[in-house]
Amino acid sequence: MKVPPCFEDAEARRIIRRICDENRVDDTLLKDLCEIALEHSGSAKRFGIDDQIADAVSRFIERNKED
Amino acid sequence: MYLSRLHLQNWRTYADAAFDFSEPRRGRPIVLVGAMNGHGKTSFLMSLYLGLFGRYGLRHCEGLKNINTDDVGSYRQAVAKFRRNAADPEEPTVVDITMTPLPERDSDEPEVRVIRRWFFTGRNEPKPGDAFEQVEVHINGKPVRLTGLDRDFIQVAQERIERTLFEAHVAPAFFFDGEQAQKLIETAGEAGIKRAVEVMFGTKVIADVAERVSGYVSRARQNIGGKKKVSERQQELEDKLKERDTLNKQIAKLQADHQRIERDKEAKEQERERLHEEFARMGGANADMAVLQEAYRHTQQEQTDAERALADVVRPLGLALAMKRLALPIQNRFRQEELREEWEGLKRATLDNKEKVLSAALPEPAENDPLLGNIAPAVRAKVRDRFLIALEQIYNPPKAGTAEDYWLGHVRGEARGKVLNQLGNVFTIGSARAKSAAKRLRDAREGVEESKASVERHTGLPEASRQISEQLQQLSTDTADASRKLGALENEIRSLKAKHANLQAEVGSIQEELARLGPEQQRLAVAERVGRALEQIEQALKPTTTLRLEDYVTKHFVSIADRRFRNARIHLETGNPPEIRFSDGRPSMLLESNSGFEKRAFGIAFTLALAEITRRRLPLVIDTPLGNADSQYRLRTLKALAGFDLDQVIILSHDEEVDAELAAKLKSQVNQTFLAEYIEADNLSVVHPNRYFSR
Repeated sequence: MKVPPCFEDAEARRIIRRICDENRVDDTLLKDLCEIALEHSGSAKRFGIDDQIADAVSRFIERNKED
Repeated sequence: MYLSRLHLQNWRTYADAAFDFSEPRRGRPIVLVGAMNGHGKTSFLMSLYLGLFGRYGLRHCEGLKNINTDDVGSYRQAVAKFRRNAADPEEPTVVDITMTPLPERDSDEPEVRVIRRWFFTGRNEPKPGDAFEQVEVHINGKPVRLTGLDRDFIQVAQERIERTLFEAHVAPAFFFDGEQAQKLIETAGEAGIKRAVEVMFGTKVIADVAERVSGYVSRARQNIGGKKKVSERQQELEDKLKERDTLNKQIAKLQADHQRIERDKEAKEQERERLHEEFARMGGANADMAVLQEAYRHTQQEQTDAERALADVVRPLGLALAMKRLALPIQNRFRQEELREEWEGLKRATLDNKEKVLSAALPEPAENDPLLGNIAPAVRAKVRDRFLIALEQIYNPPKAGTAEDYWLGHVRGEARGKVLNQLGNVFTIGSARAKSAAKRLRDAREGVEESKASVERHTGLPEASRQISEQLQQLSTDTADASRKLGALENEIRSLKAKHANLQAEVGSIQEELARLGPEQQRLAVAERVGRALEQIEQALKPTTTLRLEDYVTKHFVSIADRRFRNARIHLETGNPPEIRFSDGRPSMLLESNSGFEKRAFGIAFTLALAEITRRRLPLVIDTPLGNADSQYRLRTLKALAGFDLDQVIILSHDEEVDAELAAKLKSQVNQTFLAEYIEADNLSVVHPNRYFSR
């Protein structure tokens, strides 16, 4: 999975996790969304981004049901 | 991943030349490519940008940045600039690049080969339209089919290359020109640095995601409608959750305070025990004093216990005590209604039997009545009516104290009896316990007063025992005070916990309601939360990204620059040019006020920092990294580059830069050398592997 380097920096990761907790989302969802944004960024535009975002959010909801 | 092959055809001075790079060896990352000015160093560097990313590489390529990248014509001009003048018009210009993974490091990455061809007319001008460019992408030796709906094949290829290799914007951190890096100091201030770090560290992606999610939310809202209810309930849920978090924090703080006071109290009690023993050891009159002190302590403890006991009695009686004021009128009313019920019962029983009573008084027919059988029937009827009226008057008026009607008519019979009994308890049981607890407290207070007076009366003790006595008194006061505080804290914690439980129930109920609202609305609610989180992350990461960049730039700069900068730190503040600050008290200085090579050192350090931030293992390709630096600087820079944690560092140099002598010093870190040589007679450059400038 391609994720921005800030997810691999210890301090940045701590900040991201704290904010994720406060907003009751998880960093897996954020990583999924980053990957989608990267796919659609810059030169390589593609359609269907809303469907991909909805899928990522659905996976998050499913994960939380399991938890 | 390393650059394993670069094949150039009709590219500047290269008619048909290939660089075949061998697999990097651990500890020997450097590849030296020597070429005199004009013999093919810069065209090597540019071939990587344009070969890998075509028109998308143009915007990131330092030497071509100023060309308007949106203009297709500019791209054609840029490529035409790199076409070999003497090329046969029939032959295309070709850049063929192969990037190969290292088996031990990049096992999950494929080998990627990109072949880009540009076609020209008979007058060596770029061909118009789609005829100008072709691109092939091979993954692990197999060609990739480049087709896509509504997109040209160049765009599809670009997407595939970026997905498999790396994004075009990452290239400047790995492929760069030392001279241009020196100029970075002028161009990289503020916006440049900010943009670079946003892109490399990924915070730009976070901002992009926030924007994408926001777009999704607004489109999803339009699609599903009913957004108001969901978002209102969602907001309500957010508020409740925040309130719950605040309560959790308050409870945790109170519990921590409680623990702290309890520990403090225990310490004081231990100290009191110790002083008591010491006091007792003094013997005689002092021993008597010890007894008095002990008694005083006991009475104080008893007072504290009595206060708690009273609180315990009163707390559960709260409702009963509140009821107590109403209990008497309610009890009286119940009794009045009880009388009424009893009266109505008797009256009803009599009237139900009136025919029997009447037939006993006036037997029918009249012939059977020996007493009044002979009176006229009309008179007999009147007697009968009067008798009935008299019967109805037997229970009138009701007994004194009987209720005129029912206010509490739904509580009757046995139920009324139970309520009356409970109300009786309010006066008896509850008040008896409260009275007893209050008496205990009164007695304890009196005990404390007496005991205190008795201690105070005890005078004439030696100074040491008097001091201990004072300390003991102070400790007793302190522990009693602590007990009171603990009691108050316990009450507060109990009350907050009750609030917390209620809140928890409300949260559960809202969550259930939201869950019922359907998957699309749930997704919307989550996406809204993600949007908020992303905005917060973007803001929160700004200082971290700048700090991280400063750390990396400083590390590389200090390793390249001379020892004057050993205690230096580079500061990159938005709105200000880069600055060097010293931890040893020397005044800070602007980087741009330093010598040319220090500026170059900063440029190289900055670019290496960006490469490090990306956390990618790509080949580092630097054109003329050293410029006119002195021999010390040159060696340090090369050592810094060799020490950079990458597998392949390709240095493009002329003979005055990494000269034969310097190359010999680096021998142990050099994996391979090439010499590109321009042959004037043939008007082309040839590549000699395993050769370099000789002494």
